[in-house]
Parts: sequence; C-alpha cells; structure tokens
Amino acid sequence: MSIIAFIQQAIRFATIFLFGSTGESITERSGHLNLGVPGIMCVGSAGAALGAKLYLTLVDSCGFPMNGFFGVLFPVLFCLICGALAGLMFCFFTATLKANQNVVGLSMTTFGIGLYVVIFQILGESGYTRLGGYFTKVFFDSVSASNWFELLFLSYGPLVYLAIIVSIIAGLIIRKTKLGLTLRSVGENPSAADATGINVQKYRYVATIIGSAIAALGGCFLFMDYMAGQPLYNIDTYGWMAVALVIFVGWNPDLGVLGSFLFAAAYILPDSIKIDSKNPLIEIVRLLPYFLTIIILIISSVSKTKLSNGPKALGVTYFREDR
Amino acid sequence: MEKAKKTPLLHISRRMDVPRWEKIVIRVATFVGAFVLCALICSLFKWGTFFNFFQDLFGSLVSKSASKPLRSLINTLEEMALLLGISLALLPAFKMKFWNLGAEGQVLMGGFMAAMLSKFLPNSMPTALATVIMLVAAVAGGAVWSLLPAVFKAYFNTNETLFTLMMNYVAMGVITCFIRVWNPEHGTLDSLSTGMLPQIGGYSYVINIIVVTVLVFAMYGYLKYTKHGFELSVVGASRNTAIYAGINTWSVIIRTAVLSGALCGLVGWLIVAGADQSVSSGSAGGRGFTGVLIAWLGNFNPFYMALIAFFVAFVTRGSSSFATEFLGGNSSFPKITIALFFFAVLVGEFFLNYKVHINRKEKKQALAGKEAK
Amino acid sequence: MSEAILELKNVTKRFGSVTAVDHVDFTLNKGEIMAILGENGSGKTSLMNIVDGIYFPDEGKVYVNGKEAVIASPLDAFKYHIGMVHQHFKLVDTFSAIDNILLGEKSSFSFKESFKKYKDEYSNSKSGFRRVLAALLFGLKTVSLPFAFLGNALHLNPLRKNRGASIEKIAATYGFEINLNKKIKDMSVSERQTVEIIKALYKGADVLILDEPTAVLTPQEIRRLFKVLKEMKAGGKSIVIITHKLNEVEEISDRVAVMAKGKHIATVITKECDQMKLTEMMVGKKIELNIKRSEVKEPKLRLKVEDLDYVDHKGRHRLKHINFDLYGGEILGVAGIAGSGQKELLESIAGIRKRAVGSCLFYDDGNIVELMHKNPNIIRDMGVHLSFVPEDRLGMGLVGSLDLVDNVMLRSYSKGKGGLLQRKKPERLTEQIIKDFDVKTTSSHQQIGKLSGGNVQKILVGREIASSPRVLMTAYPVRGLDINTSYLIYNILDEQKTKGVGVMLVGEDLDVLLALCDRIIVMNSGHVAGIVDARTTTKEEIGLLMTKSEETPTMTEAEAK
Repeated sequence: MSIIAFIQQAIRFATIFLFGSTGESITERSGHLNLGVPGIMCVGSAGAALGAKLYLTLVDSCGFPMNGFFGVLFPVLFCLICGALAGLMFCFFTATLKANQNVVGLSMTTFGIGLYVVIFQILGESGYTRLGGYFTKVFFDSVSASNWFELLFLSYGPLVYLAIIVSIIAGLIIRKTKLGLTLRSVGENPSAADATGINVQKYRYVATIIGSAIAALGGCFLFMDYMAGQPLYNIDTYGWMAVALVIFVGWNPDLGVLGSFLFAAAYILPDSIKIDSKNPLIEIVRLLPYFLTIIILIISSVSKTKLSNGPKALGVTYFREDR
Repeated sequence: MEKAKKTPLLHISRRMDVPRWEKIVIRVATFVGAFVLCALICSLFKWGTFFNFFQDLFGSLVSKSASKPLRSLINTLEEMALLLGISLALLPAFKMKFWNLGAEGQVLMGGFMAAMLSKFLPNSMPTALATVIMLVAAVAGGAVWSLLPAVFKAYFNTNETLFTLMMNYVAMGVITCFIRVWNPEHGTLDSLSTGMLPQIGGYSYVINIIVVTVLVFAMYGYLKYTKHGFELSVVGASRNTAIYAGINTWSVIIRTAVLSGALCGLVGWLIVAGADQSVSSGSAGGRGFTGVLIAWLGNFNPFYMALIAFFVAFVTRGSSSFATEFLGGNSSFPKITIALFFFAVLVGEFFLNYKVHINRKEKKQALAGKEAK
Repeated sequence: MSEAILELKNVTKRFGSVTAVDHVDFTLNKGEIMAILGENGSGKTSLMNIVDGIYFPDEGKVYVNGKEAVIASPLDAFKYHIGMVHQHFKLVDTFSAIDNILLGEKSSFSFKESFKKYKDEYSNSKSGFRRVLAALLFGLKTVSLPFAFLGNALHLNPLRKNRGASIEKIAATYGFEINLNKKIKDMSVSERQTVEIIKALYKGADVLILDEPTAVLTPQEIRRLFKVLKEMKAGGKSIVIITHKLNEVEEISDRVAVMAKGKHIATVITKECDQMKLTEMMVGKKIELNIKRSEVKEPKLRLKVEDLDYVDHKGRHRLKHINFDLYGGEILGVAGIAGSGQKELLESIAGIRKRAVGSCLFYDDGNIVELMHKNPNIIRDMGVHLSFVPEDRLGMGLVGSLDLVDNVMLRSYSKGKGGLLQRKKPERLTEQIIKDFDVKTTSSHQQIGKLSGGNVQKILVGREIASSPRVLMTAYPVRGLDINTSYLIYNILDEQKTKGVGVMLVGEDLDVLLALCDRIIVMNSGHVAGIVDARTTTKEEIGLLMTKSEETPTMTEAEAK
C-alpha cells in the first residue's frame, strides 16, 4: 500500500474515534464521565440500521424517492435520536437520580451491546449495503480518485467531513465563547457555577445529550461508511479507545482530529505492512493501538503539564444541598 | 419580578438514618420492580409474553430431568459463583478506590495459564498435583496482569481505569496469538488433558460453588479483621490520611491490586478447570464488567453482593431461555435484561439515599385553580 | 424607621432529623449593616443560604421589598438583587477574575436596537464610494441579524479581549485595587474575597450577604474591608454580615440578630447591647470569656528546628530557612495569612512532607532524635512521642467512612504481632475519650463522618493526647467549633502545657493566639517574619509582620551590614 493510500485509509478510519472523542470531550467538559460511549456507539449503529430499514421500506413500498440526500439523512437522523436518548438515560440516572457515573456508564455499555445484537437480529443483517454507496463518497471514491489531491482530500464520505467540522467547531465553542466558558465552569466547579445562577443540571443534561448523539455517529459511520452497510461486531473496542483519546487530546475536540488520526494509523498499520495474515504474530501487531493508549496514559500522568488536567469535577455528582 | 414564581413541585433532600425495615422494604420492592421491568421490555420485543418471561425465569431453576433434580439450580448457582468470584476479587481494589476494569483480562490470563500448563504437564503426573500447579500458575497470571497498572498507579498516579481496560485487549490478543500457534484450525485450545475438577454427587461445578462460598467469608474477614484490610480502606479514603497514619501507600496499592488480579486469575482457573475445560479469547464472556457492577451495586458488602450476583445469574439464565423460546436464541439478549436489572437497582438506591418531597399544598392549589376555571 | 428590603417569616429548614433553621423571623432594612451572630452550627449560614437560593425552605416565606418572593436558585436571588459571598469562595480556580465575574451573565439582544445601530452607522457614513460600501455592510449586517439573535440565544458570544472594562469601572468606584486578569488560583485569599464582592456588585446586588468574611484576613485587611462596607452602606446598599466574633459585631453593625441552635433568639440594636449580654444570648448561659494561660515553668528544650526548607512537587518554595526552638511547658503560636507555610511546617516536622530538608531535633529527656527524612511510622517506631492534630480533620487526621474505634486506632493499628487487628484496646480508649470529652454519639461504632464537627475534633484531639506526647502540634484546632468546645480545647492545650508538653498551635484568630500562647511565630510567605512575645505584642504588630513584603527583611539585613 502506498503511503498516500495509507494516510487516506487512516483519515477515514479516524472518523470513528473522532466522533467518539468529540462527543465524550463535550460530555466530560460538563463534568460527566460517561463510560457508556462503547454502548452508545452500538446504539448509534442500531439506530442507523433502523433509519436505513425505514427508508428502504418507504422507497420499496411507498414509492419514496431513492437518492443520496435521504439515504444519508434517515440513518444519520435516527442514529442521532438514539444516541441522544441514550445520553438522556445516562443523565437521568447520574444527574437526577445521582447514581455513580461509572456504574451507569458500564451498565449503558452492557445495555447498548445487547440492544445492538438484538436489533440487528430483528431487522436482519442484510440489505443496508444498498445505502452504503451514498455514505462512502461525496466527490470521488477512493477507486476513482486519479491523483493524490483527490485521494487525500476529496475521496471521503459525508460523515468524515462532518466529523472534522463538528470537532473543530466544538473546540472553538469550548475555548472561545461564552457558552464554552459556562460549560467549562460547570465541569470545573459546579457549586461556583450554581452560585452564579447557572443551571448546572441543565448544562450537564444538554452537553451529555449532544455529546452522546455525536458519539453515536461514530457507530453510524462504522456501520454505514467504513463497513458500507455490513454490520460489525465488537464495536465496543472503538468506544473505549475514544474514551482514552479524550485524555490524550486534553479534552479539546479540535486536537482530536490529530489524535484520532494517530490512533487510526496504529489500528490499520498491521493490515498495511507486509505480514502474512496467517502468521500468528499479526495478533501481537494488532495490539499496537492498545499499547499506544497505555503509553499515552503513562506519559500524560508522568508529565504534569496542563494537558493532563481534566475538568476538576469530572465524575462528581453535583447536589446543591450537600454540605 | 413581575411573574409570581411557583414553589418547585419536587424537591429532593438527602436521607440520613433510614430504619432497617424501610431499607428491606425498598430493596425488596426494587427487585420485584426490576423483574417486572425486564418482563415489560421482553413483552415489547415479542408482544404478549409478559407472563412467559416469569415462567422462564423461575423455570430456569427447576430441572426437567428426574435423575438430576438439582441440575438447573446448580447451573444458576455456578453462573452466580463465577460472577460473584470476580466481584469479590475486585472488592479490595475498589475499597482502595483502584478502579480495576481489567477483570476480563486477568480472568483470561488466569484461565490461559491453567490451560497452557495442562497442555504441557505430563499425563503421568497425579491429577491433584497438576491441579495445584495449574492453580498457582493461574493466580500468577492474573496477578502479573494487574501488577503493571498498579505500579504505574502507585508511582505516577496513572489512570488505572483505562490502563486495566486496555490490558483486557492485550490479554485477548496474546491468547488469540497462542491459539493460532497451537490450534490454528479452531478458535479455542484443545480440551484439558489433566487437572479437571471432579464432579461431586454426580454434579459438576460443585467445587466452583464451594470455592466461591469460602471466598465470600474469607474476603469479609480479610477486609474487616486484618491489618491489610484496614490499611487498604484508609488508603482508599485518603492518601493523605494514610501517610499521616504511617502507612506505606505504594506497597499497599501494589499489594492490593495484585491480590485483586490474583483472585481474578483464580476465577479464570475455575472457569477453565471447573467448567469450560478449554480456553478462548471469549472465555470471560463479559463477566469482568458485570462483576464490576455487582461489586458496586452490592455496596461493597460481600453478602449483599452475593444476593445481587444470584439475581444477575437468575435473570441471565431466565432471559436466555426466554430468548431461545421467543427470539430465536439470541445470546446477547440477557445483556439487555441485566442492564435493565441494574438500572432498576440504581433507582432503588436513589430512594434509599434521597427523599423526594412533593409540595402537595401548591399542587392542590393549582388543581383547585384549574377546577375553578 | 427605614423600610424593610428583605424579610423572612417563620422559615424552617431540616436536614434529615436535624432542624438547621427553626421557624426564624428576620428583617433587613434598607441601607443598614446587620450582623447575624451565632455559634458554629447555629444555623446562621443555612438561613442565609435560603436567602441565596442554595437551600429551599421546608416552611415559611421570603419577602423582598414587601412582596412575596420564591428563591429556588441563586439565579432567582440575583433577580431579587441579592448577592452572597460564601465562606468557601465559589470561584473557578482555572479562570481569571473577569471570567469568574462574567460567568452566568445574560446578555441582552434586541432586533430593533441592533437594526437602528446599523442604520445609524449607514446614515452617518460619507458619500461616494464609502457610502456604497456602507450600504453593502448595512445590508449584510441586517441579513445576519437572525443569526446573531440565534447565536446570542445559545450564548455563542465570543469572549472579547476587552470584556473586563465594565467590571474594572465598578472596581474603581469602590476603590478596589486588584488585577482582574489574574487567575483565581494565583490569588491570595483576600484578593479572592474582593473578586467575590465585585462579582456580587456587578450583578447588581442591593443586598450583600457576607459569610464570615474576616476569618481569613489580617487586621489591616479587615479594616480595609470594613471601610468598603461602610462606603457601600452610604451608597444605599444593605449588608448582612455573618460572624461569631463579638468585637466585629460592635465595630461594624447597626443591628444584630442572634441565633442559637437554629432558632432566632433576639434582634437588638448594637449600640444598646454589650458583649456579655450578646454572648449570653448566643450560648444560652453566662460563660467566662477569659482564656486560661498558665505561667511557663521550667522550660525544657523539646524541638530544635534548623534551616528547614521545603520545595513542593510543583517547584514552589513553601518553607524558607525556618529556625526556631520549642520548649516544653510553653504554647508556641504560629500566625500568618492562610497558605504562608503553616501547614507545610507542621507536616514537615511530622514526617509527612518527604521533600523537606534541614534539621529538626527532638529532645526527649536526654535522647536526641533527628526527625527529618523519616516517615511517620519510623518516627513512631523510634518511640518519639510526637502528636499532631492536622488542619484537615476528615481529610488527614481521620477517615470519615470508618467508625470511631477504627479512627482511634488509626495511629496505632500496626502494634501487636500477626496480621490481625486488635480492637480491644482501642475500644476501651474510645469509650474513655467519649466519656472524658463528652462526645455525643450513638455508639463507639458510629461512622465518624456522621458526627458534628465538634465531636469529630474531640475524638481527634483525644486520640492524639492519649499517646502522652512530648510535643503536641495542632493546626486550627477550633475551626468550626462552638464556643464551649473551643474553650474546652483551649483548656486542654493549657493543661498539656502545664504537664511539660511543648505545644505548637497554628491559629487564625489573633485574639485567641494573643490570649493563649506564650510566644508567637509569625510566618510570611514561607519564612519566619518574626518571633514575638504574646504577652507584650499587639494585633497590629503581628498583622504588619504577616503582610510585610518578602524583600523588606533582606533589605534591612543588607543595610545592617
């Protein structure tokens, strides 16, 4: 594989992590540590499947127009709704019922994985590839791209561009606007935010719901774009990597563009270098992204730089009347 | 302010001393509610199966074969034992606020070490000796797997949650690699050649249940009556206090995390030698995560954890037979019901810790106002 | 008689079985400074938290300007022009002062006004090419109005560089001198307090509530604060100041409301009342307000600290060349602004700060032991009788989630052979402490975190004294305690002193330090600014030593040479 093709593949694959880490960064900035991201990605995939199935049914039986716009819109919309619902559920338990965030997150992950498999069993595993083509290209696809510029910049599906735009906008909002200032204050010191009249619960709810919806898109991308409509099992791995990525990029979604590329490059490296896929050692090479994550965790804890400091109230449930 | 604001309708306050009987009532109501919730969701997937769920749930405890009347009950208890064993292994680490999410990998490494030794130990060796050697290897395997995150936690305060999590995938990769070397045709290693745990009274798994039962009491005693247990709870409460009290926090962190990993390794051995007879990268089957939730929702109390673990095993087996009957045998379906069970327990915990005040006066006034109109 | 700006009627707040505020009536008039006097735990802070919307009352009504008000959150409080400066400042450490003040501010946006503004800009423009350009700009801006509206509704306003201008104006009006671009974490306590006050004023507070504002200030800073408060009063603001210090009540307030055990005892005009009477109302009985100070007898050297230096893990120089001696039979006070190194000093001696260097010799009837570079268990195993009551009771001295017995054995659990805990002796000791100090608890197996602050402190002090120390170090031992318990602790310290123990006492209330100690070390940003005789010095002198800038002593040294 040429180096250009490798980079192109990595950018494409990075989208999964980018959606996940952007969503989780937004969530964590509000002080919610959502370990349910893997589950939410699964839910996102399932939602996309639901939307795709609905759209295809409309096309087949009601004469609905079959085009790229609706073909992408339906799965994405359903994915966003399902992700938002999952985020709402997380908030209901952690913010309203004040349950431990780790417990709720892990339960969400279990729930999401279970739901994913069951939904695909009910809906059937095939048929989605009809919409896959709409997801994999906007301008060119990687096969028809004729030069390096087209390949590197124009050969992706709509969700790849969306991910990059969303993460850069999210980063700007968090650092440069009043909304971001408020959001950060809620994650840093909720009681201070509360004392200035900021509705902590509202901000946590909204940030978590939006964050979950964005993270869910990671599942949608994986299913509709990367796999082009073939359901894939054990999505949860990618979700955990996205959670780790948040630490690596220091809770800045825009830095996630670079971070996710690094993770994705490590992920696809074993398949690009020339190792016989029958050689058992490839299994060890496949561990590269996990080793990378571990090394990143160690580095960010050893160096006491600004990067390693997350929101101070991360994982702490806020209850105003606690003394 | 032009508009007169209404008093908030709902108002939450923390409960201080809840009487014992009320705790019991709330918990019983929680469990009943949890089952009803699961049944409701099941009937969503397949309309009109509300009561069938309960049939399957309790049916999973009753054996249909007359020759082995306890078969089903023991199967449930065995599943419970494995889950409980893992959550007990996590307990000391959690008490120390070391969030070990790597049980999955530690169990796998334990099971793998046992299976690997069984492959290489000579068949002529007495079974008892082979069993002991496999046990030691399994414990060591699990311990090594948690040693690494523990060392970094102790010295650099590295985030152990994600570190242990990543170690899970490393364990899976390592095992997949070895399986591909030794047994490339299959996804698992060959069945054990030696060191299987014997049946008792015609039932297998009985030893697993006994070992975990012993572990419940041992862990309770360890945490409550030993200096180690005291030290780890002080370290968990505050590292500053621990230093003030003259506790060597580094050694306590490493010691406790290694103990946690070692016990996970022990459970891995139980899975391989006492149940599956073989190992694959999926041997732990997500129990590592369920164990985390059981420890937490069991309030870190070994006996209450046992109760929760039993219910989880009960729901798992019940809903998997429900899935076989109505949903075409979906192995992931129990995951949904277990998660629902946990969510219901969380709601119960809320009512144990908080009181919801409804400002009835305002409500009545509001209602009266509406009626007047 | 001026009109009431804030009125509480029959307000009650319960926490579980505890009634923190019990059917309290309270009236604040326009343009007055009112003090709420009460012991710790008497419900004065809870009462004001109700006004600020932190707590919602279980019963009773709040009236602002004579109209019934429902204050369900701090946001509501701002709407009624009520602002509160909490004892534990509610500031985001990582933000600058400006960002903290601007936080939560609602910006207004109106279609009409913006349109008018753009139109004016256009009509004011010159003719010719510029006019065409202006017309184009006007058109573009008008089209973008809906987007601007949306952005504003979502609070997507960018953080402008000059966003602090209006705040600086307010600060100037009241004569606050402060760099508002500094981050809160780099600020001193008094600067943080100033930020809190500016914040309340910026949000338009007419009623300003200050919770124990003087607890962390030097005498000079207190005087400055009181001056500002009086200016604000003259400007028509109404001020409530929560305190437990009688002299401050007399100095600043017009009227004073006394609270005890959650109940409102009386509201009196300050001038018509004396300290004795106020105390009696506050405590519920006549008590002697004199702190006992025994004479120093046969001082024996107990601790010799030489050239103690400590640089923390972030590279900050926390202790600089500390030298002093501690004698048995004396109480050595340690004064200083919060964070001047008091905590680090005691913790370095106790062996908790591993990075500390220097020498610290412990004299125990002929034996001399070096304490530096040893951790607490080694010090203990060498038979050094050194007791330490740390500042952070439940964060260092005790474990809130464990029961009384386990906490009592925290410093001695490792005694005895084998791996099992021996709880027999600690159980007996716990019972003894409960009896001796009159600790209010359901049993010795109650979780210590559930006890009140005073009872928690009694257990901690009781445990540390039980080991019959030669040196007893205490940091803020009466913080948050009621008067009776405070005096009990003072007496214990004095009693220890007469037994020949060398006592070190870090305190924040200079009146108490002056009354109780024999000598006082004044610390100033990590070094010893002076050691003074408590019997002859004054508060002002100590206050000066506490705040004198760091360069001054070195300069005088240079001059002396």
